[in-house]
Amino acid sequence: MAYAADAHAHDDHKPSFVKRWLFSTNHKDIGTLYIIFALFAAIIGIGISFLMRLELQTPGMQIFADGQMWNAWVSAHGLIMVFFVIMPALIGGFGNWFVPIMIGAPDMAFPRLNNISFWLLVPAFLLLGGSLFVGEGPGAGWTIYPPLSDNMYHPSPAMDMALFALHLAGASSILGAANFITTIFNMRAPGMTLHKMPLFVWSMLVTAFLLLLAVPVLGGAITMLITDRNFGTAFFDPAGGGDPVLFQHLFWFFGHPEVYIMILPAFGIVSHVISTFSKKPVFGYLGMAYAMVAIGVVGFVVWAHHMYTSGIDVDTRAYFMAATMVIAVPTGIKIFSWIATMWGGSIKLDTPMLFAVGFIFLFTMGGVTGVVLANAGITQILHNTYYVVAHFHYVLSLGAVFGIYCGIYYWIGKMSGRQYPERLGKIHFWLTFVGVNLTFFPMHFLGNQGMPRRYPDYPDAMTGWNLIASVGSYIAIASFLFFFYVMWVTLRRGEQAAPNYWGEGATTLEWQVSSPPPFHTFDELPRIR
Amino acid sequence: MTAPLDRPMTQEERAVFDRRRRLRNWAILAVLVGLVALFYFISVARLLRT
Repeated sequence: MAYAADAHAHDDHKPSFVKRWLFSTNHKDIGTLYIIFALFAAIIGIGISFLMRLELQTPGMQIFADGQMWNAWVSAHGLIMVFFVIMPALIGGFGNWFVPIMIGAPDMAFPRLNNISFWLLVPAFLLLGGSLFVGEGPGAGWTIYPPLSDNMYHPSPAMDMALFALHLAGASSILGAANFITTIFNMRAPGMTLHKMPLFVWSMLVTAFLLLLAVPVLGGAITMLITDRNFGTAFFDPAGGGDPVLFQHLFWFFGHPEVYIMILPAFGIVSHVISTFSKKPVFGYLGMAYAMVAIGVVGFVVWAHHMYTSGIDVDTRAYFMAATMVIAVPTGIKIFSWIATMWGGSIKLDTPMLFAVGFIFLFTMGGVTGVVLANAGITQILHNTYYVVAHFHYVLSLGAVFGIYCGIYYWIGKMSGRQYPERLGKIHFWLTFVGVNLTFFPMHFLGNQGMPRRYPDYPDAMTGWNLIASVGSYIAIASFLFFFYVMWVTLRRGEQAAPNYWGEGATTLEWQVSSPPPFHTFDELPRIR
Repeated sequence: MTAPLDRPMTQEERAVFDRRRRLRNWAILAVLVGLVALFYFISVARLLRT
């Protein structure tokens, strides 16, 4: 290919350091900034989870001063991991890096908007982090339900800071989503029809639509919460004619699509990796693409399954129960198609493939417990227990994080020009796989025993599983630190990566350009047959 | 999927192509911003009833 041979020609002239990294309009540089930001935020978010598991290792209070401090730090852990780790890494990082390249576009549709999207995240993160050290901290959980989040129970500015942080992060997401949709609809190279688009691009398109339609609803909800707290309105205050359950509806109308926002890009990455390492095209390409569309659409009409215990009537619960179970169908199509892609393939179990197979196992585990929790009757017992914590960590913490690791190992050679050491990658996978399962599997048992979420203490009878979960988390955290070592070795001493270092199984456009790609990838538009 | 290059666009063709694409970009952005505003205001519509 013409591109591969010409990596350092006129299309590879780079601006000065400040112009390149502070005022960047280049999609690859902004993608790199997002990934670095997400890794930094992960150090904080995972650091907090380390403190949480230290606290829960034995009964009694060890680390945290009281329940309020516990709740503030647990809330920060959730918000950081969702808004500042998973979303920036998967959407901002890999999306920015690879969507334009995969569709043959020279850059994103709105490069300056792209820069603003990234830099809005930084003050948002500082506001959220700062809120932990103001007053009583934002201790209302990541769901920030009133009345707990109103100014009777959180009178200090900490909650306002957290709400403004969410507003800024939401604005960043909306701008990014509009940019992705415009880019995918209008910047495709000649011949790149929608039905020829790689599945990662499909996943980003669906994700961007979910963001665009869900985040403004969160914006509306927290705007009303801010006016309730500061301007004397009573949208969520029954004493003034308001309704706190309205907030729950608005929050989960955003919150449930948010779950798919976090996992869909990982679906896209895993599809590429499984196809590449099985040396086969993805089984049922169109089915895979439209399964994601179906997940996105149905994901908007199941929100109240998070609210079975809020007093909604039995008919409403019956509807949300049925609708929620319907999502298992397109999800099942995806899992079937991944397995069918591997079936009869020439499988190579390199690190990205290990993470992809690990992802399928863990996501299926989380999906199965999701079907259990979809039952309104069972949720009467399991709601707000550690069973729920186990479920959503299997889907998100393990699913989305495995998707991130999978993407990093798959594309690090492309992004940096240097390939990771395979042996270290495999050690990292097994450490992570053992650690996270040891952490979260026992939480199912704790939930069945009735251990509630959001408490820093528990009865002595629950010590055993909590100790195992804590030991598992230390292994997982050690594996996270080991990952930084692997990246350090890769960037310092990694072998020079060829344009298509995965060989015949890797067929999308990023494998036609050099590793790393030139600063301006497609000065001349590619044509797709 | 590969990216064969049979004939690069001429400068004039590329200029027209880029201009049209830019205009369509702004049109799509306007529609999307409208959608965002619509969803935001539907969410806070209760503001008007209280």
